[in-house]
Amino acid sequence: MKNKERTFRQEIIKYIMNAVIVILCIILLIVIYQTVDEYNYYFTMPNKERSFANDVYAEDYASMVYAYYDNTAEGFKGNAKMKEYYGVAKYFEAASFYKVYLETGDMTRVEKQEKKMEEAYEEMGEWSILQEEIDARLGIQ
Amino acid sequence: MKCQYCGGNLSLEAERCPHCGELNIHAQQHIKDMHRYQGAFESTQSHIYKVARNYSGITARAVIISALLILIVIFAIISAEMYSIKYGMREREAGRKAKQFREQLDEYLAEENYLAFSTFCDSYNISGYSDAFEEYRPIINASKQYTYLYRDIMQLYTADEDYIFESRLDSVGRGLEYFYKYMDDEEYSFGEAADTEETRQILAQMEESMRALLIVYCNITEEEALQLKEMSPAKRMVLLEESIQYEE
Repeated sequence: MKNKERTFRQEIIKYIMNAVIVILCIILLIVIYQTVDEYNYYFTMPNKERSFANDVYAEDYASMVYAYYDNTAEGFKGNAKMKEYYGVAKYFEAASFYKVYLETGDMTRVEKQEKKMEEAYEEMGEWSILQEEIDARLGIQ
Repeated sequence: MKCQYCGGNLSLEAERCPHCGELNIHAQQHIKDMHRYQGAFESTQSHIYKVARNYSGITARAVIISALLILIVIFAIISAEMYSIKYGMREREAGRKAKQFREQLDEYLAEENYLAFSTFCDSYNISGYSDAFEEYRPIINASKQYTYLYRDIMQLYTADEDYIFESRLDSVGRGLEYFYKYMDDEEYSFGEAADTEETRQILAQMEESMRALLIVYCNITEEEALQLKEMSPAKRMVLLEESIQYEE
């Protein structure tokens, strides 16, 4: 009788432990997913192609400039497609300062920015169609 | 042992006497006892096996639970410390390559590329509080604000939506407050290593560049731009709002 009770108790303990194992496995999977996610956030390219595409779509070129510097500082040079986005960012940055120096009459710096704009335009590839749009946005003739 | 009938030699297991053929009563008792002992032995054995199996099942589960708990704790710590792991590694790299990194930072400053300077410092967690980069401390802080301000000013200038306009205008106001704070060594200590003429010159250039951005993209006059630094945050916000709305 005592043995039967003890066996019954042990069976219940085993059942509870099985349930705990299942719960812990689920928690472990969640924690592993979270760790992989954190790894991707911190150790891969901070601003992906999709993020640049969204900025182009939203015409948020200023964010592209920041994202470009962020990526290059992290050591991610990017593929050919990314380099075209980088070209857009560089063009916008150079154009924004070109306007500043042009309006403040600093012609030495204007020439420098103009050269940067030309170089960036070459890198823009299929996004070179954005040149007119950027110039218009910034009010550059 | 001896047979009680003929006195011949008997073994305990022999059922009958091999000499007279009479029944061996001791052997019958012995066989009965052996059967009883065998039964008790088998029952004990099966009970022990069962208990042991149960306990080993519980032990195995306990080991699995412990291993799972350890793994969860390890992954949770790694996940929570990912930021520190990354920036700790980058900071150590910056410490190891301090000379090379200082040359890179000087190059950015010579080009007046404060955006690249700031993001580079951010990426390697260079704050100017370690000995290797102490002389850059006020420039790092001011360039960080410059970078945010550049983005906000350009978004403010190019944005179509009203909600962006409101939020960016607010950011520019706050950004300028910090920007001018880091420019002022009375309000914010530069630190001994950074308290040099060269640092002041770089900060002045950065301030001039910011002034030009504000004049061109926020439509304020040169005179107003020069007064911005001394203005109260509220007055600064009113001026920016009025100038940008006037431009619209």
